[in-house]
Amino acid sequence: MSSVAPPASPKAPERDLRERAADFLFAALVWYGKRGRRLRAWLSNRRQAKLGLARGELIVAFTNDEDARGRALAAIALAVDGMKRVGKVRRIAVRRTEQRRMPKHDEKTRRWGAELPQEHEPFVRRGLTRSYAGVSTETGLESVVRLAIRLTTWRYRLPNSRRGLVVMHSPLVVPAHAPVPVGKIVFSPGYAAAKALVGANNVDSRGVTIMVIDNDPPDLGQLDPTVAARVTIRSPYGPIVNGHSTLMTAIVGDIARDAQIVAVALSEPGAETEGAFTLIDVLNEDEDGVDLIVASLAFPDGTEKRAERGRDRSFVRAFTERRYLPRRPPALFPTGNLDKDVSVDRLGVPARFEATISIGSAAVGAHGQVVRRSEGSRYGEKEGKAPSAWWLAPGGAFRRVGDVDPFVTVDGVANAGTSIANAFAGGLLAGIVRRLRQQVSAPTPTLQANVQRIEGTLANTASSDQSQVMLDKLGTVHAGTVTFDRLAGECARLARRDMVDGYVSLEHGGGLLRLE
Amino acid sequence: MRIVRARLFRFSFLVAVAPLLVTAATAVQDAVLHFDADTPITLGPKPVVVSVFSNSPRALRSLSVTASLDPPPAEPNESPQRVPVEVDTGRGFRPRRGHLTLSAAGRIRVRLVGPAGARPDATGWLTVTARSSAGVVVARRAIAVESAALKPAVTTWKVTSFQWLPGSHDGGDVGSELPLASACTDAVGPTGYVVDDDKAIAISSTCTNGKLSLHADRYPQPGTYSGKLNVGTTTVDLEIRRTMAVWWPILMILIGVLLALWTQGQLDSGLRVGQRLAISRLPRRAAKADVAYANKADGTPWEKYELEQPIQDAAAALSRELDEIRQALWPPFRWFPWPDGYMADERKALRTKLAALDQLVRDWPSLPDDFSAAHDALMKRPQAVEHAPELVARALIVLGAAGGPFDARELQARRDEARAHPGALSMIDELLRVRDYLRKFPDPPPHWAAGDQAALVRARQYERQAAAMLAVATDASLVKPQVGPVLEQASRLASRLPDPATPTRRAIGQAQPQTAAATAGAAPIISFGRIVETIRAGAVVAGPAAVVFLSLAIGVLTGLGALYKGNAWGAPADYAAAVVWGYVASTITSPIIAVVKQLGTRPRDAAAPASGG
Repeated sequence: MSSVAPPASPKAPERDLRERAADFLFAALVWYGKRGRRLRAWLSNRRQAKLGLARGELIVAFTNDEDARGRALAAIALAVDGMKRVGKVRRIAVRRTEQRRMPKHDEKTRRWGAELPQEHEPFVRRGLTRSYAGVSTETGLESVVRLAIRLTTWRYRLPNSRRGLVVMHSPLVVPAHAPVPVGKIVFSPGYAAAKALVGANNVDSRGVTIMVIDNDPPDLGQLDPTVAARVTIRSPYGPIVNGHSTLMTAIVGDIARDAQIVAVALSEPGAETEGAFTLIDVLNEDEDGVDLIVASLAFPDGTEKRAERGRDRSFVRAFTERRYLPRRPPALFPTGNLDKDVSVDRLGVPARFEATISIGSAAVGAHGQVVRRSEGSRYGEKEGKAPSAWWLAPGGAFRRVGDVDPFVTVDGVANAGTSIANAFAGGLLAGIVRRLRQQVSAPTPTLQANVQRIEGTLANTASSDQSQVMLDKLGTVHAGTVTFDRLAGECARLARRDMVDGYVSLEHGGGLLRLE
Repeated sequence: MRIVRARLFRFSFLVAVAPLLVTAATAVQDAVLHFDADTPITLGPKPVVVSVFSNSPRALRSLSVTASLDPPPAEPNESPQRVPVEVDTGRGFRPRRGHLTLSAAGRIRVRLVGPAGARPDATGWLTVTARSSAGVVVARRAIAVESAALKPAVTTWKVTSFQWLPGSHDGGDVGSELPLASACTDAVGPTGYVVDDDKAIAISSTCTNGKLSLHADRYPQPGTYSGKLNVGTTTVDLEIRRTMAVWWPILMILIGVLLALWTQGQLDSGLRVGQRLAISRLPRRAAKADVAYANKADGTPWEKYELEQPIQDAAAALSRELDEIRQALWPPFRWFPWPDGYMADERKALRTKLAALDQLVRDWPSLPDDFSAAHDALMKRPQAVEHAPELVARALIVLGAAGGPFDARELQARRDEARAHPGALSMIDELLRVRDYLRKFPDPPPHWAAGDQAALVRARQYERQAAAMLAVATDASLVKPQVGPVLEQASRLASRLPDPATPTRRAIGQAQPQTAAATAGAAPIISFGRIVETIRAGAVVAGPAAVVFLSLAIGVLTGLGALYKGNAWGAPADYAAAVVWGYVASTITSPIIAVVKQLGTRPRDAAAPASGG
């Protein structure tokens, strides 16, 4: 604890009674944290899984008020550093919202008018904005770290509320699929028929790199050697408990026969961070060499609590931001499978967000070319301007999680669902990326000169950081990088509605993806 | 024993004598003789009869009845004037002679007649004495000679009572005094009531200096109160008109005229109040628009734009401009119709600015969509960097919200540019299409006619001109109007060239047909929000409507007061009078307005158009 310098405080530099008490309680918490870790981990696993909360990840929300922000960051640092004596704890990232008035708060201010409670007054003057910080912990330490942050919050005289600092659990990111065993992968004849139907037998994906994000890394031993040879695992290895990643990689590799595959696992061995914050962190990394991201993952909706609504809003914002940043490849997410506690007529998260390419599952009829939405594939409207900007890809027939027809079998277990459809679509879109790249013209000297000219103009303009980011993105687009908008536009162009039996935009989105 | 007997004797004596003593005392206390009333006896020309009663159980002897009038106070040495008295002891009235006897508990009647030459209002006493067993008993009663009979000079009397303040309903003296034909001294006069519908007022009077002053009780409200007042033997028809003081209607009429002038001023000068209202509402509407904008623009590069502060500044500037226009006039005339063409240019400029700000606030919630469309258009055409670098730089500045802080004018410009960017960037597609087409003719074939060869050369010139214009274009809103015609010329010329097979000529220079989806999106949707918006828009129109309504109400109400109230309205003449009333009302105000307008005319406004505000 002594390694963290205390923040500048208007109070006396000497430790006052509150600080002494907090330090003593913190020491007691460290002592408590070192004991009963296994039991806490077991309890945490059960509880977190039941509530749909991520193990090993917390989200800390705090105001951007100039004074409070400094104290909040110091409180988090103090807690994280102190808890390092107990286990693996680190701060992931801080996502800051823009310094402007929050719409909801603005409405409230207007409605309350003269009756505005006095404690809200500073926020009326300055605008209430927040930052969100992720904290990664060892499994079982979540509650202890949470207590530690709340204790340091108290030490730095921050209110334990939305006006100060709030600690909450991160939503659990899970594969949109039942647990898949690790074993031999066998594609069914229906799979082959579906490939033929959507033109996926000969997808030219040369020069395309696809990133597959999952909870675990793929088991290269279970993959076809031609596929395994193209896979690069970026994350550290650990014990593979779920064969979902292996299956996704196998399907992507099978469809996009020439594409390079980068596998990224969310769960660090030992840390087991599976939270949404980690996923967003991975998605927002600067990916220069990747053209497409296939993430067959989902996380649950937040509740109506104010703090969770704010957290979800920050997620939406994070996805929206990707759209306008360079070197952020378009990401594919499954619409989700019907399961307990979810409704089939609502797209899953984050597939519901506007800035994602969302894929639902379609079942191809055994006789002929009749395509229907898989019964358990979630459907609905996307947020934003284009509610039916999501598409179907073959994912096998299934009613709900666990109740599936064999589309792909892994170690003899039948598998079907939107995860598979998502991976299938990932392979198909690799072919589209290849085609779009071929349309790019070579840069000319005039272009180089003009870019420099524009850079000069922007450099002479105040607050042009966002403009420069967009110019950067324009440059990458010119160089052949496929953006979300281009890819979504191409999906909309290629999708076939006539191939879907009883097509309804609400249930079938933009139609079935099919390569020409 | 003797002492006891003596005490017993004294006690028995007291017991026996006490009732007698009490009776005697009572007899002394109660008047043995008394009159039938205690009020003064008024003597007039007619005889007056009063009764005298005896309470004595025995006959009263030596009864004597005398009456006399006192001398006037101014002449105290004069002897009292005797009043003739006749007494009726049971055998009729006879002049009093000698001593009379009044039987036990009996009664006599006394008849008095005012003596000749008795002074009006003179007073005196009627005295009755008698002898009883207890001694001489006396009874007296006042006498007064009747006043001189009042005689009014008129039989009808109409007076007006003025009320000075709306709330003061107190009574008091009523108008002029009622003239009398007879003389009177200070004395209480007759009383009565006057009524108006179900409201009654008590009227009293006093006779002063030969005139009757009327006094009224509290007036419930203004009105015409009438009644009858008995003055002497004559009945006077009394009518009291209770009304507000005359300066009240004068004041009201003046206010009405000023109001008419003000109303006319508002209508003539482009509804100044409406403008003020619209300006004052702008910042609040901008704040709401900001919320809608922020909801849509969250996470985008253009989320930094805020409207509230620029609109606040712009609204303050507009208010100042309006004040300056107003303050150029002499203060009283600021409120009245402004001269024709008064600062017409400045007022038109102000209205234009207000309309532009209003449009900006309306557009603000949907602006993220325009920015998004502009962004998509730009990202779809990375080659725009090569062909229109200045335009791309400006688009990046607009989309990245660079170059702040922004005022309302800059925001308007950026809105216009953001909306124009897709169209402006589409000019690049057109340019490339024309260029590709023209490149198919590296050299004009020799067999071509000279006109075709010239057309090709000119088409290339137009294409190069368009390319050059695009290369330096900055403002997206000007690109399409400026570059578009040049490209169209190039397309037209290219379409005349004699090799129609290669390119798709139809695609060149023709606008793309509107898609069904786009037209479907424009279908009207009745929503609650739109109804509210309509009502709000109606509220802006309600300003002039209220002014018109107010003028009409004034005209109608005054007309009703003058023509209808209190009259049996319905005759043809009444209809004609109502029409004339409306005509007269307009002819009264028009000349005043014309005069007021002339008073504030400035020399430089004389030539301005008459449309004014």
